[in-house]
Amino acid sequence: MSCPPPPEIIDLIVDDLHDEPATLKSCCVVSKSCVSRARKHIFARLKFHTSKSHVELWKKTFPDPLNSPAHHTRYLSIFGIPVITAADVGVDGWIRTFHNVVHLHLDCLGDEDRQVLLVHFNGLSPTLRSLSLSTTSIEVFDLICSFPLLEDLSLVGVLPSSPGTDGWKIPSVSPKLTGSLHLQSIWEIYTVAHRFCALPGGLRFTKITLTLSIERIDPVMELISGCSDTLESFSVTCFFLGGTFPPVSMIGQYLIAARGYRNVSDSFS
Amino acid sequence: MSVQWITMALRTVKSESFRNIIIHPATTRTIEETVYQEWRELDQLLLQFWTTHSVHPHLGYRVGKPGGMDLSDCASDLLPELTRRGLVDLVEDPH
Repeated sequence: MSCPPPPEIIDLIVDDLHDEPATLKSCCVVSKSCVSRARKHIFARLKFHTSKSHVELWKKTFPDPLNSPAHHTRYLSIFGIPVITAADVGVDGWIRTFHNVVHLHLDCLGDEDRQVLLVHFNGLSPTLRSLSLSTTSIEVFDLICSFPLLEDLSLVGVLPSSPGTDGWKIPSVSPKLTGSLHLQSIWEIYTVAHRFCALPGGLRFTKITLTLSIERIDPVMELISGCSDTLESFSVTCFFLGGTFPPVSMIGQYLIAARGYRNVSDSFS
Repeated sequence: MSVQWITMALRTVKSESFRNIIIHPATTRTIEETVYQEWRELDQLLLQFWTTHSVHPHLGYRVGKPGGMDLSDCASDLLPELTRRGLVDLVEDPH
């Protein structure tokens, strides 16, 4: 009768396979002793595609959220915010079980009421360091400000606010925001820049990447000068460097297309 | 709109840690003379950054973009002083 290796050795082997999920899954099939440790790595990065019913599959596989491996997840991406029920957003709902996420990406393409849906992710993880939002509305600052340790922020494809949703209040505490800021295809750059500059404590980004077609420089100037004491890297894509801007930018047309639920990711590429 | 705002924005930077500038011009239009002048002002500012802070400027471009101009050829027109001194790096943008 063979003697199984000590758990410490199994842990070392499993950790060494952290970036080989297929091998880790095979280990779990072969030996139950690998399962506990392998889960930490297998579920470290998760991508949910609403169009592929991943959320439904997740809830079916792990009907008890408290016993799901969601707490292992560090990188969480959700493409197309799914239909969210009251049970989903409760303390024990599937959303709140991802409370250890460090990097969060939300792509709201196809969701008409983005603001309402994003509210459910407010304060999801107190240790969140990186937030990436695609095809969202301007009403994302409450979400941004709900992560006190947030360092890196990416906003791509921010649409105008819906009527009656312009009641943003300056928060009393600002996230750290000491890493990178990536802005691309922002409809209301004035409002976005002003909201950043209104955050208490000022701006401390070290890296700014802009892909914008702007018609007035004031807001972007304000944004960059706000980071003048901390900026280490500045990257900019300037459209139409000869001649004048068209009244409605090329990017704006893409965003209008996005509202009609067309494939905006193809348009941006 | 031109690159004047980039020059103005960069003039506000006070950070001693500022080390990296990447500019990706994206156009299919002919550059007007006034805009060339603004590029030359940017050229001077970037040269100043290089001299005082060792900030290394990069110019991003796409090779063979249909309908676009080849920025690798006109870098010496946009940033003449930096190019003459060999201080600007051309970096190919990912497609």
